[in-house]
Amino acid sequence: MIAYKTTGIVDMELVSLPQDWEKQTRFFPVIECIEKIPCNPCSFSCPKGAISVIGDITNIPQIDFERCNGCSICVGKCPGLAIFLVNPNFSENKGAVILPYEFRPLPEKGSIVRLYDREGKEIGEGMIEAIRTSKAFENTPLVTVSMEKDLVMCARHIRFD
Amino acid sequence: MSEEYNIVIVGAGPAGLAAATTASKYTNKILIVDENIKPGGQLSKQTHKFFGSKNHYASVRGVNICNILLDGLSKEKVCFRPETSAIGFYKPDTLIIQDKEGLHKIKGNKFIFATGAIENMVSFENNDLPGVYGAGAMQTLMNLYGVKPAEKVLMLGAGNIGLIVSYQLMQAGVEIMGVVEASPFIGGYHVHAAKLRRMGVPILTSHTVKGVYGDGKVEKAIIHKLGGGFEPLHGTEKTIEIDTLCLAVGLTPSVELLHQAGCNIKFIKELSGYVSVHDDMMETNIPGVFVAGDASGVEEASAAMLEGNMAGLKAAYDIEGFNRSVFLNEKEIVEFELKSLRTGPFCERAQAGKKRLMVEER
Repeated sequence: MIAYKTTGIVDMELVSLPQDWEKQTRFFPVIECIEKIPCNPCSFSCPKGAISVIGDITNIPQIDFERCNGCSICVGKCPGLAIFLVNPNFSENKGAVILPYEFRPLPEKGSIVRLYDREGKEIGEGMIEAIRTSKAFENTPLVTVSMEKDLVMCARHIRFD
Repeated sequence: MSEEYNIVIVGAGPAGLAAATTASKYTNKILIVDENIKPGGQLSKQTHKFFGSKNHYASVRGVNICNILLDGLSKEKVCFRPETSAIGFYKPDTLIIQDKEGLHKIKGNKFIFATGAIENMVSFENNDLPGVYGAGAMQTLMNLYGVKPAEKVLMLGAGNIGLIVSYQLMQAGVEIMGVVEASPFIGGYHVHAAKLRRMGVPILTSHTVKGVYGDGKVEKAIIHKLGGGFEPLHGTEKTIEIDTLCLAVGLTPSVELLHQAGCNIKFIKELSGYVSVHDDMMETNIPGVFVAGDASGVEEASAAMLEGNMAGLKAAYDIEGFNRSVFLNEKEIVEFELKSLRTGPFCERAQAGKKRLMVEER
């Protein structure tokens, strides 16, 4: 049995990433959806046709990184809140993650937040670069948070006082 | 004098509303009765985005699906009676309902029982102590009535309901001390478990609740580890301070009315209990009596809606006898969507159960 069935933590070797992802200078999606569940809205949400669920609705979404323009609609549409956009080189010395955040209050732009990994362990601090809410995101607020470059594949939740 | 309807639907949850939606395309004089104040059943408590197919409201929050279904119903064709219980069915055409004014006799041509399911209880020490709640009750309090139902909760059950309700409780500002699951594996979708884990919630598989304790109300729970045969392992007890233990340990189909009506009831473990035998268009062994949704076997709301569509279609067709190719075409679409929804490992159980049900029917 696969580890995530007991831990609830995704096995990253099951998640597809662009080649040389560390060198990317734009946002790309990390789809942490690795289980055969009946769900396909991500594939319909993408205006560029970069995500597809081929055949049965329970098949795992496939991503064509070349087509993605980082619009973030899939992040808001995913019912599992399992899609994150990652830019490992957001600025010269920072990376950034766009994550869904369905809690109130929302953080303020420019504020410092604590970052948490997939196990809920605090791993550092980040700065809120943007907060977007839209009907296109099914009213799931999307938060862009910048951080040390080596944290972009780990940070998946934020908290602040 | 009794009222007369073409179709009488019991239950205004996803299955009942979907049945009315399809039926009202082809016929009129449809009645829905429901014991709650507002229609929607469990849908109206679901603040999360739904899974499933884009064609079937995936990505839309449950409460909004409920509003879409209600907005789509024509008031001229569909009459809704809230706070009304269906308490007995008498062959071939009489349903007894009860509301504030008393008992009434309702005559119908076709009946669709979309009576849903009830939450399971589980035995442990002091399980009647105030502070032991069902997950559905917690959702009703916070998502329908806007009441924060607890401060510190331990969730029992890591199926989708336990995981989703834990997340919704956290959105309401409640602390989740952990999710305890007797099975060695998380039963719900990984993505739901991942949302809790990244917020620091432990999920303890192979664990269960020994009991809850406190002075007149829940103040703590003692949990322990389970061995391979689900036997408690001594010396593994842990005390957790909580004010509420929330139970999400499965559902049982509500088939009392169908049973009383004389439908053929079978125990199918994969469908979570006693269910009414039905054919591929949801008709029971009593002609004109249909079942849809969890009452025909516990599944997701998307499956319930499709079953409702199917029952509504066949009931309307039997009354109106409209164009056969229109009927067959719509039947095929619903069949296709149900089939595709039931693929994959999470639906193996329900799929096997439905197969057994069909065999029993023959």
